[in-house]
Amino acid sequence: MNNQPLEKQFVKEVLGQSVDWPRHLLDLDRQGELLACAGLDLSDSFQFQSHWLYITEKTVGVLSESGELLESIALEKITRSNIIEGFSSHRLSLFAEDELVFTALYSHRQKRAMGQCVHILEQLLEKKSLSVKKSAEDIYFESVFDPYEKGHGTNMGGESTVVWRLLKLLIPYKNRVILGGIAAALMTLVSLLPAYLTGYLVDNVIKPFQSGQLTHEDAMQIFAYTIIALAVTKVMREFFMWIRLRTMSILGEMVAKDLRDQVYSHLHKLSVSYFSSKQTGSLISRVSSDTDRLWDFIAFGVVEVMTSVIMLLGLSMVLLYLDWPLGLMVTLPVPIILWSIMKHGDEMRGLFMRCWRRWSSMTDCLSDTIPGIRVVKAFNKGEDEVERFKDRNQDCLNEFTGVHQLWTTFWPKLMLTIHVIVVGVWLFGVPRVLDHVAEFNATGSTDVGLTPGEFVAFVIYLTMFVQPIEVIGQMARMVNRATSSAYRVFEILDTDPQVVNLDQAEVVKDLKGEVEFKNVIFSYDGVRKILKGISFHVQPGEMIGLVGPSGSGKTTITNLLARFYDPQDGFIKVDGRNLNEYDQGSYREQLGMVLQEPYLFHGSILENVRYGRPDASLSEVVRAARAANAHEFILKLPQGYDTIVGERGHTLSGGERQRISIARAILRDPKILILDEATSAVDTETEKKIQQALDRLVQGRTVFAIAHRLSTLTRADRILVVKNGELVEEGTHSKLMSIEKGVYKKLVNMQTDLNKFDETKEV
Amino acid sequence: MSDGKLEREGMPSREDLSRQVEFVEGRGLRLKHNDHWVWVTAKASFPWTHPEEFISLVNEEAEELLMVESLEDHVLEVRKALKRSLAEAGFCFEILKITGVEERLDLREWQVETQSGPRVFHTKVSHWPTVLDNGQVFVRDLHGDIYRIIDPESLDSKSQERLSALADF
Ligand SMILES: Nc1ncnc2c1ncn2[C@@H]1O[C@H](COP(=O)(O)OP(=O)(O)OP(=O)(O)O)[C@@H](O)[C@H]1O
Ligand SMILES: [Mg+2]
Repeated sequence: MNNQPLEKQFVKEVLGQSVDWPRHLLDLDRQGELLACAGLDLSDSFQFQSHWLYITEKTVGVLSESGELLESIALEKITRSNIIEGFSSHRLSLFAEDELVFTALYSHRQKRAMGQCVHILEQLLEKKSLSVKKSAEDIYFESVFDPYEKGHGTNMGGESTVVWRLLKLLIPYKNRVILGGIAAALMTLVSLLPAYLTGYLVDNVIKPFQSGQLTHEDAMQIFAYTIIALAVTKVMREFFMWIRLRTMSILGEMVAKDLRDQVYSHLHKLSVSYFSSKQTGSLISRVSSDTDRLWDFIAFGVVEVMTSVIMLLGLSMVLLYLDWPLGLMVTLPVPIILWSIMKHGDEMRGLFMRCWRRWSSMTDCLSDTIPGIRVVKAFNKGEDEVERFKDRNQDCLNEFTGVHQLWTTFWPKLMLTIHVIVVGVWLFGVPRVLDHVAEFNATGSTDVGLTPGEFVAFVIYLTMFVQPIEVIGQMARMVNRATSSAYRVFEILDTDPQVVNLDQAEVVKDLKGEVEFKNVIFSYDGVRKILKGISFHVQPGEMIGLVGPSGSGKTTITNLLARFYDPQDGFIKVDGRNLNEYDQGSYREQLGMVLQEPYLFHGSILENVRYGRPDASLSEVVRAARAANAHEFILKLPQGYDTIVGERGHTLSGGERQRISIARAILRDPKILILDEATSAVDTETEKKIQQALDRLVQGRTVFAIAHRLSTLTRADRILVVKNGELVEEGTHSKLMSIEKGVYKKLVNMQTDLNKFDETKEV
Repeated sequence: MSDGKLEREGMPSREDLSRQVEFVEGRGLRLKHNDHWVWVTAKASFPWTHPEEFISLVNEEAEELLMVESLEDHVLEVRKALKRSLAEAGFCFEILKITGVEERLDLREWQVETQSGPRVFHTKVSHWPTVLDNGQVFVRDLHGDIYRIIDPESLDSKSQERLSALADF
């Protein structure tokens, strides 16, 4: 997807940043020398400025807003860089050994771009070959734009773009749309007829009959025709109404279903990183309630507005045609009324925003305390929580009172205005009817004033004015609601997966399980490096233990191996081929994972064990469960394997959940197995059992086992010790134990000390 | 980590600290630690509520070398040096005037004048400013920059009106 122009436009117009870089920068970029750049947008006295830092293969330079070269530092002079993070400012410092050669401030807005600069700078300093795939300009704008993309997708087009896109969804159903549209238009026009017929009845039946121009018989006949016409219009109206409602509401459902299907299947294509940057709740509501709101818009909104516009225009024309002075009296105030309704809408929106805020602060109370109810009870804070809730609930009430006060006074006032117009019509209309009657009685002329029938029709039309005005007044709000829903939905559809299959990606049939990491650098957010150049080589069938302090990057290594993310730099090879050469899906089929936080789906234990291989036979399932030491506890449950485990497997203990997920991995029979703290939530006894299970499981596969309890890893062929994202030690248990002051040795010693402590305590 | 040495060493006395901390213009704060000068950053543990208490001095590896529990306990030079250093770490944009708050497409756009100059920034629509007990209002934009209104009631009435839909102060 090419959204470059949009990004630039956005950064330039909305953020008010000069998109036109200083000439020198542009020149460097054009000559291909520019590797990266970022804005130094804060001066030393914290004032905004537009200075630029750039990096080429030979220098780090700084340009002023006007393009003047303020600094140019030869790269060979620089030995290291450092960034200090503040709340809103960061300070970059460059050093030659311990001497400071450059320092400057920038805001968070430049953080990612600067992160790129520093990353490239470090590569250069370490004389590594650069793997720059994009132009410096692209990198810069993408990095400034990124938070918007993360939070809000790529589509930054205006409201009208979104509405158009929404309407485009209707294209596959254009026949239905046309049918619905025609029905709606006809319905509107037909609704204009009854009033006209009433007027006709007065002027052409009642009046002539009254003045004796018409016999009773003739009058009855014309009357009969009018009655039939009236009945026909009413029937037609309801008929068109039926067509319209049916076509459009079913159409809306179809479009919403299409959207839901699209969104959900697109979600599954997206990479893990997308999900960690979003709240689960918000994704769920996008698939469910946002698509539902769009149904509302398509089924009713679009047509409603269309019919109201037709109605208003039709009415105005009819009124002006019937009698233009009176017609003007009615139609002229309409724009003012519409305007005041919209203004009222704005005011309401402000108040609603406050209400919404209150409301969410009240519901936050719920979503905070209900899942944490045990903590509340344990700390005996129930009463305090009730007080807190009451306060917020009261705030809600106060806010809603304001809203109701506003609208309850607005609408009667508006209606009063409309009544004034109606009274005005009477005031000016009735004398003119009288003029007409007088003139007619005197001369028989029908040219003067207003006929009684016309007046009656006029008054009836007048009453029909209110509803379309109301609808049009609400239009802005409705469009606003629909577009923000549409926006949230399109945002998912517009996001490209970060981990993608190459075009010539190969479907994996069978892996041996050889794994190689080479200088792998990785960062979740593009700024903080979690893995800082990890290299290791694992033979097929080897069991590798990954150990290291919490937060050192162990899980991250396995995430990369599972290709949930792609490394920023360096490569990962499996069976001698780069991971991205494999088709993702088929590669993961060769992979088994027992995650640090085991997840069970809502369903029976049987279904959960079978998740990775739905075709597995019952005996295979039981064998896998046995191997995972899960069989016994499953049989203790009254419903055995058919026990439904709750949303998050709540009915099971942590260790039990872990064993089910081990069974799941065993059943899958993977070539590469990842065990992330697979035995963390169990007692020593069970751990031993799981250990045996794992021993059976690990044979003939490459295994990566992460464990804090190091005793678990004694079987490992090799142990990799990770610290702060770096591989600090590597080797067998005994080799690592022989390293004086080694990290591993220290960890082991500490744990044995603890164990001794435990033992003495137990005695 | 620092092997827990520090915790055992305890706080240096007033005079000691003045010989152990200094601010080098253009470079930052440094601390004499185990007889070596180490570059450090000052971080307030409670930056908004108790900005001058529990100030942690951390080295470039993010290890805490010293905790200054209260600035008031120390001599002027030390206070100045620490404050100087804190000013940078604790810097955030101070809003002087809100010239506009608009909503477009699931984003809330703020146009403000800050002590650093005018700026436009965005938050999610569902993101409300945080109001502290002491009345300060904080907004964090999509990029992570923090904006602060120290005393909302001293803003001009238009700004207050714009803010009032979003926060109670
Ligand atoms: N999705 C994520 N987004 C951003 N940062 C992350 C994410 N996942 C982990 N991190 C950070 O990356 C670092 C390494 O995390 P990782 O999960 O790899 O640690 P670990 O070695 O598995 O630790 P533990 O032993 O506690 O499980 C941590 O500092 C963590 O905060
Ligand atoms: Mg982990």
